[in-house]
Amino acid sequence: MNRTNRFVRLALLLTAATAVSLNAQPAGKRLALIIGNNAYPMSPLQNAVNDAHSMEKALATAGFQTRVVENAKKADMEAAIGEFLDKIGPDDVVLFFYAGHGVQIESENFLVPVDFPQAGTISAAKFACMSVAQVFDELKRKRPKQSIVILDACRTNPITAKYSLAAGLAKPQDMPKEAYVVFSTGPGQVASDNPDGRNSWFTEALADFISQPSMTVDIEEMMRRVSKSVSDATEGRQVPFKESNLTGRFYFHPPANDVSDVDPNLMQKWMDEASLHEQHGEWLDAIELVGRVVQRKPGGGVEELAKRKLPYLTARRDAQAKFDAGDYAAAAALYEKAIKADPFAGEAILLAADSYLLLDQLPPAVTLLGALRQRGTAEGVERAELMLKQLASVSPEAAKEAQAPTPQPPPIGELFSSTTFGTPDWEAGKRRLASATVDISAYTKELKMEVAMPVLVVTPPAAAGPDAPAGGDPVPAAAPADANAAALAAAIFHIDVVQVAGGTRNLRLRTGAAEEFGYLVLNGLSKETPVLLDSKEVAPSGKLKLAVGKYEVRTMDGGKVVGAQPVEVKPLSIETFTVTAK
Amino acid sequence: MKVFAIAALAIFCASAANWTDRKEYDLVLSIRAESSPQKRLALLDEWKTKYPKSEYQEIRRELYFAAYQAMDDSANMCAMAGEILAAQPDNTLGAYWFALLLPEQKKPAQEQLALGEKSAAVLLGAKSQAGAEWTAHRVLGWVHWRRGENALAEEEFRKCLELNPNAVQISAWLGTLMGLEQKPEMRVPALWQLARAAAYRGNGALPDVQQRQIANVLDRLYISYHGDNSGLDQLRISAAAKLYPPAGFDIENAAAAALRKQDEELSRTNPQLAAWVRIRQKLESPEGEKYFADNFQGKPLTRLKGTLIKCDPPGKPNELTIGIVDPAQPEVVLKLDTAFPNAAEPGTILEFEGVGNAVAKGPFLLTLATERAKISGWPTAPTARRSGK
Repeated sequence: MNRTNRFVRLALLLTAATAVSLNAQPAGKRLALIIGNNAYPMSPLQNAVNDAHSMEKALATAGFQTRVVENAKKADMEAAIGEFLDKIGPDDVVLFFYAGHGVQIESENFLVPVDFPQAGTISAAKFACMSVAQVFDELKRKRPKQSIVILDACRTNPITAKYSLAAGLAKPQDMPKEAYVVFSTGPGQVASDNPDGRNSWFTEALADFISQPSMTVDIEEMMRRVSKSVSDATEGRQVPFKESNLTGRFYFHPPANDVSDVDPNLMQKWMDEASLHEQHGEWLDAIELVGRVVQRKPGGGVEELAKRKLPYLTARRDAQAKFDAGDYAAAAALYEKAIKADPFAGEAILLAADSYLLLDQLPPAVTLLGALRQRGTAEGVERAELMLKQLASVSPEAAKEAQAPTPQPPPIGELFSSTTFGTPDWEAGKRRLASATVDISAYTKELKMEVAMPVLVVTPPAAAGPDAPAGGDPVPAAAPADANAAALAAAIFHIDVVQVAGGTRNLRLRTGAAEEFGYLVLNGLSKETPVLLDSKEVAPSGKLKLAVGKYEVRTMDGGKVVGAQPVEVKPLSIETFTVTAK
Repeated sequence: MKVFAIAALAIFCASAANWTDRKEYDLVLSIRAESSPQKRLALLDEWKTKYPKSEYQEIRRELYFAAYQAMDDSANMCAMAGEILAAQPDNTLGAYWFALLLPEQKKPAQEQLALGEKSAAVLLGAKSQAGAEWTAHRVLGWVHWRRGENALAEEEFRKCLELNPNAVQISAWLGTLMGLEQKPEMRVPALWQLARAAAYRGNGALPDVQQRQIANVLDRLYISYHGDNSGLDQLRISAAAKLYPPAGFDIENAAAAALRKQDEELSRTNPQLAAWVRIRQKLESPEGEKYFADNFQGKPLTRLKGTLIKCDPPGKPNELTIGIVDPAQPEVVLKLDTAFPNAAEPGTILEFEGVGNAVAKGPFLLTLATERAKISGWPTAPTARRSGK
């Protein structure tokens, strides 16, 4: 190997090393802040701190970096939340868990620190608590990839009683984007601390599910299972609540080989991580991640990029192995393969040229550097031209290439050669139709199919027994009284209940309501006092079931009315009449 | 074919375009290498800002669209597809995605609806591509619906269903559209389509969330219409299996059910009244006059029982007004061959027969001709009191 080649090789390797170090940044993290407050002077809790530790263990199994804060004062909560927020990056998934007392004040939710003062106004109480809206606002500002907020804070508490506040928490409002908010019970409801257990019902179920690495279901499905578990344990008294605006899925334990799972966030995360591995020359890791994406066929640009990337990465891995083993011929061929997979990979072009130079094959190296002049970035062009100038003294081809004007870059179609512009991806359209919803609720809520009910014939049952509606025969009230009734009417002391004008008739037309009757209680009625209903004697009873309408209750003696009182029977009403004994 | 040829020409033109400078190329190269759609979008913005008049604007718009697509950003996808279509009226990509996404937009402007029609026209020109025609009819139906052109919308939705009966999203729309028509005859077909959308589970089924929403709507409507949920499960099963209801299919509405139950109850407790209610319902129906002419004109009616409301003239009446269902509401007028010698008190219960004479609606009144002998329950005339000795 001559000096020129060694110099060139050194230059090229430096180039490669520079490229590797560019743009390295940490991948998306999973961060959790967990607060558990038991030690309230006014109303201590038993399980909130245990809940916090159970969640810490569970979340650790799901890859979360956790921080637990026990029995936090207001200042502790603020500090912990502030530190937590400072760690959040745009690719992170963050989880905030709180167990302890929580209140809603004017429809806004607050978390209660353990140093909550025992006296003060409602406004002061607000300032003494940690506002959930404030946490939301900070999350909005930090814009993590996904936020999960879990509040097991709906327990009975003395603050609610003290300020006559509504029970439980209010429905979350103005959530951050890409957020999933869970309450241990529904808005306005109170959750149980489970005094006989070590954890609250809710956290017990949640931590149990999260702790299972085999639970490779998304958070929606997991919460459904948690809800069922809590509801079963509390015999339906407590049903957790959730609100979500996640556009993708979130998994505590992502499924490894579920080809049906094409969560775009997950796919993008893998591609981002692969990109970092590629920059560090960690080919195996990069290939594994990109391979996962290709296997799941997510469609769109991500799949297209992954498909393009996989053969390139594979060739780069193999070329690197050959290069490291000193097999430069094989390395050059494999770098050429990588360039074929991605003609715009400047680094591969440089390494291929380097391999040829190490083999003392200047013409292919010069050709590659010429290609880099056309297809490379401005920086790549500069490097290629510098190298060609250096090689010009030993290679006429290099001298010729170095003297030629810089070629025009290829047209855009070559950069996106796998994309057919102007033609839709029909399959992607089908996938969208299968998954996207068109909200027609504005229309469906206007749908009404009530049917105009016909005028029905209402026929009260026969025989005016004590519990029967008045009348009872399709033959109306004016039917002739029986002989006994006639005798009663003419002679002895009795009570006569008669319908009056405007009252409902025994047989009438009306809309089909079923319960159009009420009761008339005759107080002070002796067993010996007969009762007539529309001139018919009814079984002696202190309670008459009458069709709705206006009546007159008459006290009769010797055929004369000695007292009368109007009574209006309304649906299911109980009217009273006090009988004055003879 | 024409559309594709024009699209191909556009690509050719794009490939014949030139970079403004090497930095523009570098920028696009970095866009190409970026897998994150958010970062790609930021780079596209940079490209657009630095090179607003780039010769690759058409490609840039499609790259924007692809980035929004990767982010599942429906509103921006639709807006960009519209932008593509507006700039290149024959661009199939713009037409297809605009047509597909327009119904997802919350409050489309009139211009968007007009562009939706244009996108349909482009797609109908690309009929050879499976899905293009269906998408065209879908967006046309949606546009008509939004404009309140319900008949046209229904027509387009039916075309969609002919092309793909399993695309039950269209069933949900069609069912909703028909239900909103508020026409009695549309209600059962509407319920069928909604049941299909709620129950169909095969390829083309609604996403779970929407299926649950439609199922809730169906439950509510069915109970409103039918009175309870009996038969709803069967409706779901039947509708899931078949696009349209079989001939003669019906769902009894709550009113009909109430009348049927009333009839059953009256037939058991008071057959005479049941018979009269049935007769009256038929006489009051739109075909009531024909029914009267065919069955009762000059023909005897079954024996009925009612309450005397009025005698005319009061002293020696030859015309009696009677209520049957409601003793206060005139329903029948009996015209007697000869007058009664005495009056009867209102409220007197009479049984009578008669021959149909006339029927009037609003208010309902049936006039029968009869004879005194065919009326029972009339009080006998008081005998003249003889003077005492």
